[in-house]
This record gives sequence, C-alpha cells and structure tokens, in this order.
Amino acid sequence: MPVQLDHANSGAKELKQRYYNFIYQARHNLAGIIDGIFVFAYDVTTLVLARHEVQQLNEELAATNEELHASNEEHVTTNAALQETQQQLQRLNQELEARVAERTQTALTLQADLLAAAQQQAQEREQLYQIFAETPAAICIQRGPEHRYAYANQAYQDFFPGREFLGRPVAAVLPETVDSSVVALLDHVYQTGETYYGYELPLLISQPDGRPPKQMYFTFTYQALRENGAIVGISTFAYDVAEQVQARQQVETQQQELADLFMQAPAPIVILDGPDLVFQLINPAYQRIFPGRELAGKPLLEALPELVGTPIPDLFRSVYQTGEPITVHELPLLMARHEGQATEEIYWTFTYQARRNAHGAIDGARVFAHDVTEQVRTRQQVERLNQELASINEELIVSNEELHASNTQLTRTNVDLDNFIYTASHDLKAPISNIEGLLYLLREDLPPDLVHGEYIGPTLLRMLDAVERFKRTIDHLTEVSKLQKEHAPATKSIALATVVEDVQQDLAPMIQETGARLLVEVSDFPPVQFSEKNLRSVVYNLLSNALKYRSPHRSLHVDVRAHVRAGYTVLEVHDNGLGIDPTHLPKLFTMFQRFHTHVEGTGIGLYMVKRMIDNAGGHLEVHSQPGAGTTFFVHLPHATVTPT
Amino acid sequence: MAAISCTLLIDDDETTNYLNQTLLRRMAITDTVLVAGNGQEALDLLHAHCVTAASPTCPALILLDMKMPRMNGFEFLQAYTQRPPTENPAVVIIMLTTSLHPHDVARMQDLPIAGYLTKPLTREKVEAIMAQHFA
Repeated sequence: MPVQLDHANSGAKELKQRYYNFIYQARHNLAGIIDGIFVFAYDVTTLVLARHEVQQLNEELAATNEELHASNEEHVTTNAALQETQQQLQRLNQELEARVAERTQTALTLQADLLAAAQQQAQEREQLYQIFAETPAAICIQRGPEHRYAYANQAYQDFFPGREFLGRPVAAVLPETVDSSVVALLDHVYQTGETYYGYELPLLISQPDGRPPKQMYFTFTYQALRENGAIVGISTFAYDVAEQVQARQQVETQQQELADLFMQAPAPIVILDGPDLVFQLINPAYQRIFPGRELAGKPLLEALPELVGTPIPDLFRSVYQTGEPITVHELPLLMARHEGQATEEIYWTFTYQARRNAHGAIDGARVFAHDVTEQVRTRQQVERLNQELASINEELIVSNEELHASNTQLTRTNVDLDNFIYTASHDLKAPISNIEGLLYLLREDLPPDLVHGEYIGPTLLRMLDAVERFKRTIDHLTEVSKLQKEHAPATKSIALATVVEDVQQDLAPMIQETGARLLVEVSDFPPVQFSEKNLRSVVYNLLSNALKYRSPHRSLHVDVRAHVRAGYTVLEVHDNGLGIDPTHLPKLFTMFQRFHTHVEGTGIGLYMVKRMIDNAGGHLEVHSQPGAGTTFFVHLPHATVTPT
Repeated sequence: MAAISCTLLIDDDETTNYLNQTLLRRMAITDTVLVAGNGQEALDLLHAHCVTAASPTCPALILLDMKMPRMNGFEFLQAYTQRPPTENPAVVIIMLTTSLHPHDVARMQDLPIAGYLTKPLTREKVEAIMAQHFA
C-alpha cells in the first residue's frame, strides 16, 4: 500500500512516497474484550521502487531495440551506409551491451535486495506465527467467502480435536457451526467488515472416537482480514469460557436452589439487615402470617410497631451483641395481621440467629418464626376439656363414693335384715315351742277320753299341726337367711350324674309311692362349678316338685336329661304333670308364692333354687303347658378345671 | 328322795320356766327346782346355795337358755368357769335352744356343757338326760 509517512517525524511538508505491507489485528484481554491492536507493518518501498526501475529499463530497452531494427534496415538498404554505420553500430552495440550488462547487474543487485527483504519478512511472519501458536487463545484465519482455513493455531485446533482445517471451508470442518448460525456471523463480518464480538456463545462440539459431545462456550472476535483495502478473510480470536460459564451456572443454580428453598420453605423465615433490623428478605410463609402488612425494606419496629415494649427488641439486641441464637416457645404477642386493624393474640415459637458478614461481624439477624396460635389454642382447649373431664371424673368419684356409701348402707341393711330374720325366727320359735310344750302338757292333763274324744282330739291335732307348720316356715326363713349370708358359697367341680343319683336315692320312697317312671340320662357330661350342697338342693327341689305336682289323670313320667351349651351343661327336668298356668309364670320364683294348696309346701323351694343357680353364675328357664307338663332348664356353668 | 337333789332352770321366759318346772315336778326326778331369770341371777343363786358343794340346794342339773337379758347363756358359762373350782358343784349343764343355728352350735363347742337340746323340753328329752347323766 502506498503511504506518505513522515518517517523521521521531521515535520517535512512534502512527504516521500513509501510502500508498506501490513496487518492490523485486534488484541483481546483475558476477558475477551478488545484492548488493542496488533500492527504488523513492513516497509517495501525499496522493493517497489526497484521493481519500477527494472520495468522502466526494460521498456527503454524494447524501444531502443526497435530503433536498432529500423536502423539496421536502413543499413541493409544502404550498404555504404551499412558498412560505415556497421562499425558505429557495433560500437553502439557494444556500448549497449555494456549498458545492458551494467543495467542487468544493477537489476540483479536490486533483486537480491528484494529477496533478502522478502526473507526477512517471512522470518518475521514466522516469528509471529510462533507467538500465535503458543498463545492460549484460539486464533485462526479464514479466507474467502467460504471461510476456508488459512491458519489455525494449536489452541484453536485443540478446541476441535480430530479435524482437518487447512484449506477447508468452515462448514465442512465445523458442521456444528452451521445450525448455530456461526457461519451466518462469519458471512456478515466478511460482507460488512464489521467486527463481531461473541460472548459466551454455546457450542456443542462433537468429539472423535465415540466420545460424547462436549459443551463449550466461546468468547470471541471475528474481524475482517483486509489486503490492499479489500476484505479477504476473517481473523478469529476465541477463548473457551466453558469452565467459567459452568461454574457460574452452578453458582446460579445453587443460589436459585437456596432462593427456592427460602421462598418455598413451609417455615416462616425472614432476614433482618443491620442493627435497625430492616426486613431484607421475607419468605411467603412469613408473609402469610401478616397477609395485609407491608414489611419489605422497613425496619422491624417500624413495620411492626406493636413489638415496641415487648421482649422482642431486647431479644434481638441480645442476639446482636452475643451472637448466641435464642429460641423462644409459645410467646404470646398482641399483633395485627392486617395493617391498621385490631391486634390479636398470636403465639410465636421462634429462633433468632445472628447473621455475620464475610469478616465474621454480626450484620443482621435471621428469624425462623412459627405462628403456633392454633396449636396453643387447640392444646388449651384439650387442657380445658381435660379439666372438665377431671372434674367430671371427680364428680364420678363422688358419685362412686356415694354409691359405695349406698352400697355399704344396703349391705348394712341386708345384714340388719338377716339379723332380723335370725332374731325373728328365734323370737318366734320361743313362743311356738312354748305353745307346743303347753299343748303336750294340756294333752297330758286332759282326761284320756276327752283327748281321744270327738271334739278335743281333732282340735289338739290341728293345733299341733299348726304349730308344726309354723316351725317349718320359721325353719325355711332361717334357710333363706343362711342363703343370703352365703352369697358366694365355696363351689367346686362336681359331676352332675353323682348328684342326681344321690337325690334319686333320697327320693326313692316318694318315687315308689307315686309310681313314677323316672328316666335319668346325665352321664358323661362336663363337670359343673357349683356348691355341692346347693346343687343337691336344686335337683332335690326340682325332682320333688315333679313328683308332688303330678297329674291325677295319667301316670307320671319324669325325664332327667342334660345337654351342652357353650360354657354350660344344661340340666333338663321334664315331667308330664299338672303344668303351670302362664299367668303364674312371672311369680313362679317369688318367695312364699304358692299356686297349689293340695300339696305340702311353703312357697320357698323355687325361690331358693333360682337364688342358688343365679348365685353360682347359672340361670334357670322354665317351659310349661297346663295339663301337659313342665320342663325346667338349669344352666350350670362348666368347671374350669376337670375334676381328678 | 328324787334322782336329782336340785335343778336350776335359767330362762327369761316365764312360760318356759313354768312348763319345764311342771314337767320336772310331774316326772319327780328332782327334789328342788331353782329358777333364775338370767345368767346373773343364776350366779347369785349359785353363790347363795353352793357355799359347800354338797349342799342339797346346790344344783346338780342346770338347764340353760341362750338368749337372755343382762347376762345370756354364753356369758353365764364364761363367768361360771371363772369361779373358784371348789365352789363349783359337780353339775350337768344342758343348753336349751330354739334353733340349731350353725353359728350358735359352733360357739357351744368349747363350752363346759354336757349337751344341748332344742326347745320345747319334753318328757322324752328329760328321760334321755336322766339315762345319760343320772342313771
């Protein structure tokens, strides 16, 4: 490029014309920002001038030659002149040759200079490439509209391992750049000459040998490469900033996660900045406690003035001074959930932590605060209910004590009644035995004919009979009184068959007398738990009842059987006797209840039977049809232990 | 002279005493019949009649009721055993009861009595006593 420069900075008005070859190249700092220009310039003036001179000499030589040719023709036509001028010509020729030789020599000298200059230039270029090759920045030079690689330094080649660069267009070498519009960028720079600054351009670079593609990020410069003012290509400076980008992305991800954690945490969290405790960060969980209050950016006591005068400011002061965290449980504070509205009692469980700056100095506070109002209220309600329950319990205890007192009273009354029956039976017995004695005395004193006479004899007999009945009733009363006292007589495991057999023998005379046909099938049943005396009494009463209340219209059949129900052996005493009128059934087991007068009885038997069965944990049922017969079902509890 | 010199009846029931007195007299088995309305009266009588055990009015047979006011039969027997042995005659004590309540029977086991009978006292019962203790 021809340039007029003041080389010596002499300030000369007329500058000499000089020629330069040069390269301008942007210099990038580590951040990829251009902060200078590389200038590679060569002064080729001498070369150019020498070339110009040779060209001029050659032109002169050609012209002279033509003149010589014309002269020669003139010399041929004019021999004489030829002869004459031949010598001149030869001389001229010799002169000319000498000049040519001289000029050629000069030209050769010039060429040698030029060559030397070119060599120097090449050497300098070589040095430049050496620098390029060693620089960690990726550098390449692409030429032509297809951006064919003219140069790629080692760093550049290392970015794209296994590729062939030189002479090949970028689309072929780096097909991944086509889709990512990198080629379009290059085209633009090539067409417009505008330098393009790329910043952290992501490129997924496929790797050779089946390795997975590598994500890379480039910060780079595309700069038009000009020769003689025309764009001939693009020079590229690029840095792989993947590590920085990924590190930053990682930090960003972590920060995002932390932020998410903070914002999404179900626990209310705030960060208070500085000694004035300015609300710096408020997560939604905290804001929900105060849905209608503006907190962000305000100092704590300004945002929530109702905290003035509560223990809260002192607590913060303490955390601020000591750095020791503080946890408080269920502190009630009168606070408003909405700005300007009435305060309500909010229970708080919270932790205050000191926040420290990079130098370890406390510069704020972190608050983890839970609104536990609902829990506290629920618990208070539970406690209230508990107290109510406790008082109910106390009332129940009192009732229980009252019941116990009643029970004691009843027991005492029972004992009194028993004593009464005992005393009454004794006190009644004394006069009746006196009457009996007096009757005997009277009978002795009366003349025998009167005693056996028509009137007095039967009268005496009836009187003695009445005394006998009186005594028997008193005896039964005594029996009942004994039964009351032995509410829980000693029970044992008893074989039913043995008891029935014994009773059968006791009643043998009566059975014989009535001509009853007795069928007993009670062998091989589980033993029952009962007082032996009482069971005997039960069986005796039922069997003797069957014999007593027989029908006069048919011969008596009595069946004594048993069957097993869960936990019980059920003794059945069935007869075909008189049967019981349904209207009598409800009073059947009542004391002193008698439905027949034709048979001896005191009305005490079935009452005693039922009492004994109930007391032993069994129960008694009766099925009866007047004129057909009666069946008693005695449920006797099984013995828990088999008798040995 | 009867089989028994003196018999002591201890009962608060006058009719019983009348009956028993009449019965014993008719049977003519005792010369004297002393009657006491309760245990204390009986002790007083013993004190008066048994200065020497051989006294003809010191009872050889005592028919004792259980239920009495002031001092009942059991209390009398306890007091009786407290007396100096020299002052206690060789006496047959029979308890007369209206009932044979198990509770009362049990109480009689350890007492210094020759036996017990249910009321009323009859000719047969007296004869049984005579046969067993005064034959």
